[in-house]
Amino acid sequence: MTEFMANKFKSAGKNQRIALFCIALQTVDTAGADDTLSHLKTLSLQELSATTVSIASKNQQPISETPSAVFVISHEEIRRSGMQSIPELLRKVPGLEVARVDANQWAISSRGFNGINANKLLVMMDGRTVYDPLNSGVYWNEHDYPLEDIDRIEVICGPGATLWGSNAVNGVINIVTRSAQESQGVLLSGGTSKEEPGFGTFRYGGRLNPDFNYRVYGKYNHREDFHFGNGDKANDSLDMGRAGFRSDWTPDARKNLIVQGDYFNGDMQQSLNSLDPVNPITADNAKKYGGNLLLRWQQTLENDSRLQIRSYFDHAVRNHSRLDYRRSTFDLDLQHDFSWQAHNVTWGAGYRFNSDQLEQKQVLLRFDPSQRDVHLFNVFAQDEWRFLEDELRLIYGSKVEHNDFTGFEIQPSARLLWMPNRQHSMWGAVSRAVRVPARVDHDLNVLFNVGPGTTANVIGDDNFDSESAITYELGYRFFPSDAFTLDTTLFYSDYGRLSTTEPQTPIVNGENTTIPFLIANKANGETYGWETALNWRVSERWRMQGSYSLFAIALHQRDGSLDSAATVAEGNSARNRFNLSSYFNLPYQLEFDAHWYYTDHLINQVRAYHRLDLRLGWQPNLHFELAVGAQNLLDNRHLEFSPYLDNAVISSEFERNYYLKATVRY
Amino acid sequence: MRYPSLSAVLANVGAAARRSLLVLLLGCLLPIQSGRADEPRFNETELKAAYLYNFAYFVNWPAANKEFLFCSYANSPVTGILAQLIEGERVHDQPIQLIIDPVPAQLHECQVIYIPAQQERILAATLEFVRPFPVLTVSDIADFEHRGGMIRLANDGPRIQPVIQLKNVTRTGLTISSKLLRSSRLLE
Repeated sequence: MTEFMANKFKSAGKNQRIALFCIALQTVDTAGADDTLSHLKTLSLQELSATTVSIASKNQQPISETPSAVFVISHEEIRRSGMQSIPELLRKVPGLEVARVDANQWAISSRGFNGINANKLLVMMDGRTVYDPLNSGVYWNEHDYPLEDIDRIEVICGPGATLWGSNAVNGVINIVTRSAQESQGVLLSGGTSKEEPGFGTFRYGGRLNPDFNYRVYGKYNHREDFHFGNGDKANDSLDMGRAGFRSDWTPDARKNLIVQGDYFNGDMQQSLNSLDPVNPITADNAKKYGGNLLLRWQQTLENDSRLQIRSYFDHAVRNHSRLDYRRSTFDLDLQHDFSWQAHNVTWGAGYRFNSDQLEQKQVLLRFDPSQRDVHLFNVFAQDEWRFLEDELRLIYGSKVEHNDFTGFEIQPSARLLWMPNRQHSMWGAVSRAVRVPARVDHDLNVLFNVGPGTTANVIGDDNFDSESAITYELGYRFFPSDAFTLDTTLFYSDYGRLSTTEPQTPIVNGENTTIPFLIANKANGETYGWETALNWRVSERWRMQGSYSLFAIALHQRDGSLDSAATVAEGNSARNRFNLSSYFNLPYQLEFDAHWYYTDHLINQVRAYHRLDLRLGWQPNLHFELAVGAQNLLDNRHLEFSPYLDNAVISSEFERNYYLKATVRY
Repeated sequence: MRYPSLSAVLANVGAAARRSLLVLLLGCLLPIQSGRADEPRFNETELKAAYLYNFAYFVNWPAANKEFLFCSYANSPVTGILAQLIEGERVHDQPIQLIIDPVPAQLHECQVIYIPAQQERILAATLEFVRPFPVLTVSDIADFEHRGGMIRLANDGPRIQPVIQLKNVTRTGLTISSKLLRSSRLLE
């Protein structure tokens, strides 16, 4: 080590010493890597600018070249949002409907059909599917991560079934965490807010050698009860702890093995409608725990084609007052990308095994059979065909899937992208996607109180078929400079075989009447809308971001349908929504950020609301960060969603919130 | 078939449930760990580090120091590659050194500061600190050149291209050689 380096050692902080040590380790490297580096050193500037990147990076496809409605929430936007949970972060995405149901539950959907168990949206964390095979919904209160280690959240509105498969009917969300190399050192963050009196994260990232990096984390959240509209306290608090790790092994630049896992354990409450007329509201205390282990191997083969093998195991247990549920999932996927002349081909195959066990605790809710194993197979291929010096690209392909409920499902798509120059691009797409039946559609048996002496009995049906959608999209992007981008999408979707609950002949037993309802596919529908996102760097210090969504839906009962509630989904989506965010850097390392959200009224008894969030952040140096903020500044509290008859959850109101958060990184 | 292992994997998919994860994964992995490219090819990280290394030779600083100082941040893979590239090298007879995670007081001593996208949160503060000094600021953050930065390492299709904001460079008395200007995209 040179004298200078030694001096730097002394003046440097502790993590500089660690970093220098690691660099020292790295310089003692293998011969193969040395060859590459010495060759790299000899490249002239001209050669450098002519060299093509041999290994596709995670961000290689720019949004401007993607023929679908993509929106990315970046790491920096996450940090400056002031939000403390993943679902709240999604509010700014055009096309996504995000509504708080109570203190720990959300109704989130893309392009309509929103609900607590919204089932036409696919959500993944680092490629691991987190929608639940029980009802195809996402239990948002189970999925969290240290937000500081989330690299980005990628959202595709519209169908993504050709690549990602069933349930990517109206959208795909992929939460991508940072690599272990990008999250080195100690991170401690904690704070308090009115909504969450205590939250804290610990992470340590280290390396065993230059090729092997890892991190471990722990996170704890406590959320207080919200209040109902009448001012009474709801039972919807949450206590959740989680821990996990991720390791990245990169033996050379062409190979990469990721092993990661998470465990969570928490208690959460919800308020439910009960059959008892004396106590119409019951508190449901749930205990939930679970974990997952994921392996992903990526390799660039000698002809620059790429191979990815991903496998995971996921286990979840939910003990509710009405039902105990445990599920295990095993998944194996293989994907291969290669180029041939003007074609970029992606193909692959996958297998998933789900096994669940439901234990009835009350007469109100049961599943028949109580245990079920489900197998899911798929193969897919997609080709990107480039014409006219890449000005025109045709992307077409299909997924073929086999599931135990409906057999084979075909989900093709064709997309055309036209990029006449650097400033404009246009795209159009036609795709088909299906929502395959979940356990509830076939095996549910639940009782609801619908009036004095009258009970509804909703029963699943083995004849329930997949819901299907054909979607037409048109997009236009305008990016005159890196300081301004405008992204607009128009869409029209045609849905068939939508889920209904069909009333059967009532069963009269003395003074009590039970009306059986059978789950069926007796509705059709159309949705259409307009989504637009704007990003504008106004000056060196100031950035603005905005989005607007217009949405309309019309559902129709098919002949023979008696389900008067079939069109309830029409009332769960807002017609207009917008978001405006401003990020301003002040002197003295201060940041002032403002976020304004508007959601139009819902027909299902929710009034329009504005939400204003303000944040003041201070980062005096690399290691310390302090943030104070206010959320929902404009009103005391407001209702965002009202679950309808088919869900017993009683919603509470989202309140004004103040927070203080400190982060230390070393 | 070029990769016989792939068809083997496909054939095995149906039987996956009955096999252990480990056995199957090993079965997939082992046969394909073969080929190595004939000529060296580079990934994005390596190309960015090579640009940084080259900037030391193609930019002129108004005053010479005892040594040439690169400053970068630990949470970027580019830093590790850069450290290997500059190992034992000299620029105009000055030894090259690298400071990782510089403290604010060190920033103005750097000839080149690389602020990787992973460290976007400290971008504004860093540029504020070095504004009056002849420090070449480089980054791969998407709108870097519109936030007071000098050179952005941009993804241009499958290539990496420097985007130079000339007014930010000349303001501090730095000059860029015509060779570097020719292979870059220039903004004024």
